Amino acid sequence: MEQTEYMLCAKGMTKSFGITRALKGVELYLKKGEVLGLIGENGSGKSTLTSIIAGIQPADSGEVTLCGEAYSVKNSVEANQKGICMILQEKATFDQLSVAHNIFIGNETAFQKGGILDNERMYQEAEKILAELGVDGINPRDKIRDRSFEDGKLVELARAAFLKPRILIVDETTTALSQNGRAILYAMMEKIKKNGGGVIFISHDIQEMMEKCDRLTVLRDGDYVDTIDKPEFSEGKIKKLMVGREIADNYYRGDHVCSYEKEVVLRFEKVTTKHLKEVSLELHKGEILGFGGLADSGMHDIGKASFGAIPILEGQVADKSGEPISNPRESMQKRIAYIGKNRDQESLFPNSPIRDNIAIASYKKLAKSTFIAPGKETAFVQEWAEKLDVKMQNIDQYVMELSGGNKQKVALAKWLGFGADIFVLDCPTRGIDIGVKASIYRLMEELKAEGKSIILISEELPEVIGMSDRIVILKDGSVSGEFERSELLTEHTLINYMV
Amino acid sequence: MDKIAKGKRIDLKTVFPFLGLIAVMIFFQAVSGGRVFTPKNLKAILNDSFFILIATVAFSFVMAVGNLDLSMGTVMAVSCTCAAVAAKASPMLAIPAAIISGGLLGWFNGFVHVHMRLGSLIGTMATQSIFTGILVLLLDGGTLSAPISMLRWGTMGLKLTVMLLVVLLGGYFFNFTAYGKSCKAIGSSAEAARLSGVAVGRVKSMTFIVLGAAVGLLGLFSLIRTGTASATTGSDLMMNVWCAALLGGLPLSGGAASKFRAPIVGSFTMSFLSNGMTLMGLSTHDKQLIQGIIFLLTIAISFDRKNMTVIK
Repeated sequence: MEQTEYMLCAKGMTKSFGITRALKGVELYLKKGEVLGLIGENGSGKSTLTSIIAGIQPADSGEVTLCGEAYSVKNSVEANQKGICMILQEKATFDQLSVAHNIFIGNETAFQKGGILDNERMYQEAEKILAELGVDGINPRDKIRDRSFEDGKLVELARAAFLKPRILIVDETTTALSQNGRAILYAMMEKIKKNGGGVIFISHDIQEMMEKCDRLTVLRDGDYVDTIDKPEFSEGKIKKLMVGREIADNYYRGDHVCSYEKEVVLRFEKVTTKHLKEVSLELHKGEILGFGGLADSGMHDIGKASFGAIPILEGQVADKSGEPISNPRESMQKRIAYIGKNRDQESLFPNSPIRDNIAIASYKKLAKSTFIAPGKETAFVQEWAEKLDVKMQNIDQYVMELSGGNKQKVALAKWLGFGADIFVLDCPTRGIDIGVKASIYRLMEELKAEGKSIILISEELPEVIGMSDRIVILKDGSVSGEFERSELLTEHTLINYMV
Repeated sequence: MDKIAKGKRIDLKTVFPFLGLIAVMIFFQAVSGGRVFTPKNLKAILNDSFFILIATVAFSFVMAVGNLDLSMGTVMAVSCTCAAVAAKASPMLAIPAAIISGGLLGWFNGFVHVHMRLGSLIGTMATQSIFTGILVLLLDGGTLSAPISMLRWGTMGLKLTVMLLVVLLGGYFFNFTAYGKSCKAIGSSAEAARLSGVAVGRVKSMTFIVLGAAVGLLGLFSLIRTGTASATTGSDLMMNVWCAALLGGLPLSGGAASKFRAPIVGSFTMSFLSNGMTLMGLSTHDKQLIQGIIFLLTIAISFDRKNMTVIK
């Protein structure tokens, strides 16, 4: 391989976390003026590899060269100085600081005069950078904590734009962005590409990767698999490389019929919450009811309100007998289960073993008067972990050691073991690899067939279209459209009701 | 497969408390010229450990949740005083008076933490001051004495029975009931616990009530042992209990890493330590200095700095 063609070369990269070998000798070559996609299932090592390049953590071994010179950085500030910037999957803004202070964090000296910070100039400069990016509606003086997660991500983009990086790494950021936010990110990537820089792009959305990337490097379980050029792109081929076996192209529901029983199992009656305005709707037995909308449309409040997890200001959420639901304990008595969008905070105890995570909802069932027999608990947890096919050493392994997909399986096992009739799933496949995704869709079909009801809230429209009997689109806290399952329904139609 | 993975979990953090206990035993046995393991001295150690063990067992539930309590020493003094007041009417009344007063103060701690939504550290710092005020009012600047007949209650048999009962009940609730498991779940993640159907506020309140009642019981035994209730009653309890909990390996952040062996091992380590220092002829003040250093070292070694924000 001709070295000069590449601006960034990483060879033989290894990294272990305890006994987990996250990278086992991975390579990556980034050309000038290209977007290189890095793709692989959860736990394949994408984030580990890129965070090493961005100076966030050191590699155990391996060699990186930047424009022909040996490259090694101790932290992300050094990486920034050498022109490498990374947008993280997680939140990387400071709540207490203003938008402008977040953009210029670490570079405040540029606005100093005699040791005094010129805030006014900072705000003006921030406004300029945001405007150049095409972001509007974000006041540089606002505190980050008053802005949405998406706005935070846009501020991180602005921070990167200010640093004018030669290489930009974008790690799974698009899931947090609306259509508009994505357009801003894509434009920024395009600009870097045009100026002879390079972009390393990570996303779970294969369509997006095929559209935006010039080449794709595929990783699997910490191993380098292959790199393919744009002409060779096809969904089937990429998926095969990712999982190491063939995956059917269409993994959503096979039928195109809207079907459910007459019985209403959950009813929203003019429900008003912080983000919802007088929403009324009905969930039927055996129905998959999908919700779509922008991040701030209030769709996540639908899930929380269904489970009694947030205060309902007006109206009520009622079960089939008309009794209101006002807290999670009551909703569990009515056999409702909830898996939140923020899996690690809302659905799981990462610092606890799988055992505790699965059994927690079922202690009432497992206890004989007050006594929970360890053997009974073990058998119960083992049964449901196996039914969900959780990849684990044993049930006493800590949940934080599992990959995203297996974590979600643990959360599902908890509620299946509990024996819920209504499943409220908020972004159930968020950040999850294809293999597990498919198994979650199959599970949803099985539940539907058993007469269980599902509320599916998702930021991925193909998923909502692919799985739901009825689809409700929310906009600014109100229902803006309702659709029945149909072959003719397209993403495009739904988006018109979202914005 | 199962066994191998289980074997791996026996790491330094698990063995460390046990090694500590053995080291303390051997050290003082050697330094004191074999005076630790004599029947008379072991009895003294059991007497010491009675207070530490019962309070630490009750405290371990508070810690599993991820909370702390600064007020337990004062609660013990208030309960001791209440018991002394009640005993004037009838000695038997002292028993419910001590336990109920302790439980009530514990309930107030829980109320401050759960309903006024204050961190347990700040909350109990405030209540500790309030309880001290109540104590001073009740004692009216002096001390109260127990009827002589009560002093006869303090037999070794009774103490051992109570101790055993507390350990058995504690172990049962900690490991084999929804209550104990919920405590640990809250310590791991209060939000996830709430969304899994745990009555977070109720469980948290209960841990404080139980600790208060247990410490109230100790107030009664303090009255039986010393015959008086004074402003200094229970003043060394909190430090002893915190030390015991940490020496036993209870994490400050609570959660699944909280094990029931910790309060037991830690309490005995603390008792042997305290006894050994007395055998060596150290004064109360010297002991306090050394205990402070041990506390600092234990916390420096065991403190999980990554989970710092978890402590409420």
